[in-house]
Amino acid sequence: MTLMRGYITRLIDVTLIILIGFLSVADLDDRAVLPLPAGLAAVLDTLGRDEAERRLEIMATETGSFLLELSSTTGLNLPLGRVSGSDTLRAVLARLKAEHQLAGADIRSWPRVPLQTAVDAVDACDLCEIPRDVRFLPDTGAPAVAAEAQP
Amino acid sequence: MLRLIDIVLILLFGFISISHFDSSIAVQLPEAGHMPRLQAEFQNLAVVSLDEAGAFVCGPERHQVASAAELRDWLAGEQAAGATQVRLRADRGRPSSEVALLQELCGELDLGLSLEIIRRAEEIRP
Repeated sequence: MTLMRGYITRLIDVTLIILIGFLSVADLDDRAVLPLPAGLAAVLDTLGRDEAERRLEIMATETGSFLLELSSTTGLNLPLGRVSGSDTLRAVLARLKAEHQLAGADIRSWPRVPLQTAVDAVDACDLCEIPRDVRFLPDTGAPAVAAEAQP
Repeated sequence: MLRLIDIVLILLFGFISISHFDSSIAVQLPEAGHMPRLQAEFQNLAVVSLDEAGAFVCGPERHQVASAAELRDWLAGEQAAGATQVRLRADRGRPSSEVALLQELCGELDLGLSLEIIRRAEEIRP
């Protein structure tokens, strides 16, 4: 009886250890497809895929949206427009990375942009494994209207 | 019963061993899910916190600076004491310009600057 109890106790210990092990390495990833804004999707579709190396400029704005502009060594300078929210930004970056040669991203954060918004842009680049450069723009007193006014 | 006490003690030691004790002020750090892990480097490091109200609080002694000039002086003092890196613990809601200010000061003094981020669990991949 004592032997049986010993075995049961040992079994509970092992089960607990295995359970904790599984929980600690569990991948709770739930994949989803995020829709792209229609206008931006159309612009991406028109891009040639044989362009030279491209860089993406991501401007984080005060409203939590991101302005995107693509530039290439061949002189292409194409505003892609605005995406709102970090989830959409990730979807756009993933598509750009998958379909076009993206050498890197330059993240610019306007003076009044909350830190979290800029970090979201950095995080999106890291998720898509796009090399990024981050710059927090100093407050020079100039209004950020120029950035906000773009389509 | 003895087994239960064993498990509780093991869990307690586990929690204690992974607990992080620091004397810095509590700020809501920005969150990110995919950044590389923070290097556990505490040598030659000066820590500056930027709280929710926008005050720069410097070092473990929680010295609050009132101006950019005072912040620069504090950084210069830390550099003289051997600091080569500055780590910013900034509230996630503070504007980017305040990071830019510290970036500029660190640039002037030739100090490296890094921003502390809270790593959140892996997220939904697009």
